[in-house]
Amino acid sequence: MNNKRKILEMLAANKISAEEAERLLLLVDNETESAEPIKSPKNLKYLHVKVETIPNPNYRTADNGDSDDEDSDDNVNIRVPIALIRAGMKLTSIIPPAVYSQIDSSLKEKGIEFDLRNIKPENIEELITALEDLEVNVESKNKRKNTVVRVYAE
Amino acid sequence: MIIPPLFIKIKMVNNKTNINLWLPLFLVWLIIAPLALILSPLVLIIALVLYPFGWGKPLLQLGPRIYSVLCNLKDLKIDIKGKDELELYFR
Repeated sequence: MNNKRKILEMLAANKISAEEAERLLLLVDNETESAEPIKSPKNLKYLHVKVETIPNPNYRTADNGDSDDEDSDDNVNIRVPIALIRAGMKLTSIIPPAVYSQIDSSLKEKGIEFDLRNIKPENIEELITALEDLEVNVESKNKRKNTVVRVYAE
Repeated sequence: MIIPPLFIKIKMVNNKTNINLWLPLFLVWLIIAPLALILSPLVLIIALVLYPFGWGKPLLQLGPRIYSVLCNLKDLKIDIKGKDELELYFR
């Protein structure tokens, strides 16, 4: 908006011609249109990991119908504060340089080409922003029970 | 000011035990805080000695980083329900 006003002021002061002003105004408009809208990151607070096991109602247990150990419906509900993930990832900065090389060689032995020194604070922020879009849904069904695993951030 | 969790809830339920505790973590922090203050000059000297070997900076950052992790433990909840039940909740 300021740029447009400046152009108009310059035109009014006869510093530029009407054609030049028109061209500059078009440029300012194009710039405004091409600028990406700023994505406001949602205020993520928690990462949830949920595992729900529901016994299959169609499955009949033997004899008296009592459920055995395998049939117990296990539910796991883990809520991790995002701030804890951020703080945990920053712990990499306290790893002494000598230990880095040991970690790197161990990772390479396992076939993982990853350098911990490459993790920068801005990468951590990017990772946390990306969690906003993360949603993992795994559904497993067998004759005894149905298991649903959900990982998401909110 | 960010402060570490003041309580931890521990709940364990199975055939034999039924434990439901709210442990006052702030008592632990009250013990650790003066201890950390007393030890801080010693840590500083050790960090200065080890600085040429590359261990100084990590040693100096150790305290604040661990404190940050402890503070952010607040609201961490682990709840496992099945045949046995286990709940950990930092509050």
